[in-house]
Amino acid sequence: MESIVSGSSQGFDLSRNTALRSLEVRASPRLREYGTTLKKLLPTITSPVFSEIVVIFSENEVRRLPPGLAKALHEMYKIRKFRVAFCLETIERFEAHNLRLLTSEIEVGALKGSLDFLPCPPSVFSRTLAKYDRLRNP
Amino acid sequence: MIITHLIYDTSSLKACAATCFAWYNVATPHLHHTLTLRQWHSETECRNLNPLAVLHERGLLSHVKKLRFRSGFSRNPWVVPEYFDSWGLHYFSALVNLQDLAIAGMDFSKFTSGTKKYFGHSSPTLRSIALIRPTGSPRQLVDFLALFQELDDIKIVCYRATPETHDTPDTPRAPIQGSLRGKLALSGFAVGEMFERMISTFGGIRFISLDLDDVLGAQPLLDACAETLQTLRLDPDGMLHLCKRFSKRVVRHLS
Repeated sequence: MESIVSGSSQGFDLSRNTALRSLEVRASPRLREYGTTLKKLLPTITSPVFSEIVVIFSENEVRRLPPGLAKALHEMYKIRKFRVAFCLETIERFEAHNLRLLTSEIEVGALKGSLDFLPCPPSVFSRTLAKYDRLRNP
Repeated sequence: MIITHLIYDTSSLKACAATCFAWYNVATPHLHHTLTLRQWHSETECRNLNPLAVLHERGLLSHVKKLRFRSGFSRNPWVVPEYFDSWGLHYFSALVNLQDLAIAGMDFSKFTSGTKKYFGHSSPTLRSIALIRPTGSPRQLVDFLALFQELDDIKIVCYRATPETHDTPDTPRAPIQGSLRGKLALSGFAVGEMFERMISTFGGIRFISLDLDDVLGAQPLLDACAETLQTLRLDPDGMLHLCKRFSKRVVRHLS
């Protein structure tokens, strides 16, 4: 059953995607559990321009960073080298404060030192969402 | 202009609009940029598209660039032809600058004469569409998307596919070239026949960004965008949920 499951839903094959530049993954508390899936996905990437994994944060996830985030990234990095970017997706009202919070978590907070395996520190940026984009049910 | 820095601050925009005619002209397009339509209780005897009438009266409909139909009661589809009576349709047709459309609860199967009559006027301007819990056959869904020939971004959440009806035969037409080159976000359903319809209708797809959350059968989609896909977004929660759901189905099948 394991092979059926991994072969159908989780086991994407990205070997044909020759223009793939980045993977984006939400900073879910289940990221560590999901890391196994991503570890299977990374070796299938053959795109010569692939360079980046973007971890997407909402304001809730910035306040409570998912446990094991750095470890999951480290394990993936062992399989394939990539840059890491942290992206805050929020509405305009919460943007500035949460962006500062996320940056400080990396520089002096919970993530300090845990991303040293990366050749360069993760870049941090934000995307402003329209209110209804945040909701599955507008 | 300073006013353009206030586009997210509705109360300040309203204050600006009340200052003088020159400021009113600058602030108004931002104030009426997004229009939200809700299902009203029948007891109130208000028309569902009533806000359109008010905006039409004041000549503001041409400022609307983003239109949202919010969820109906009990999450039942409420965007059906009955809500577009002759006046509603008249007002709706005046939304000539619509760029972004989000509809929660649209039942395509109720639009027996097609959706062009209701949404076709937005064909030249619409760039982005979000369908939340749409109901209908894959052909009806893709035919609706094909109305908008400049469409870049598509978001479909929890699509409830119904079997194809053969009341109206497929009308053969040349594939629409040059569209579907932006972002596709899918959540909570199996892609299946909708994908095949999309390919045949649009003559291929060239999305540069895919956002897949709890989606079954997405590999052909990835392959179809082999030369164009630049960004793939995955959601751990959705994927794990999908995996568990699939596992249960396999276990049920095996037992």
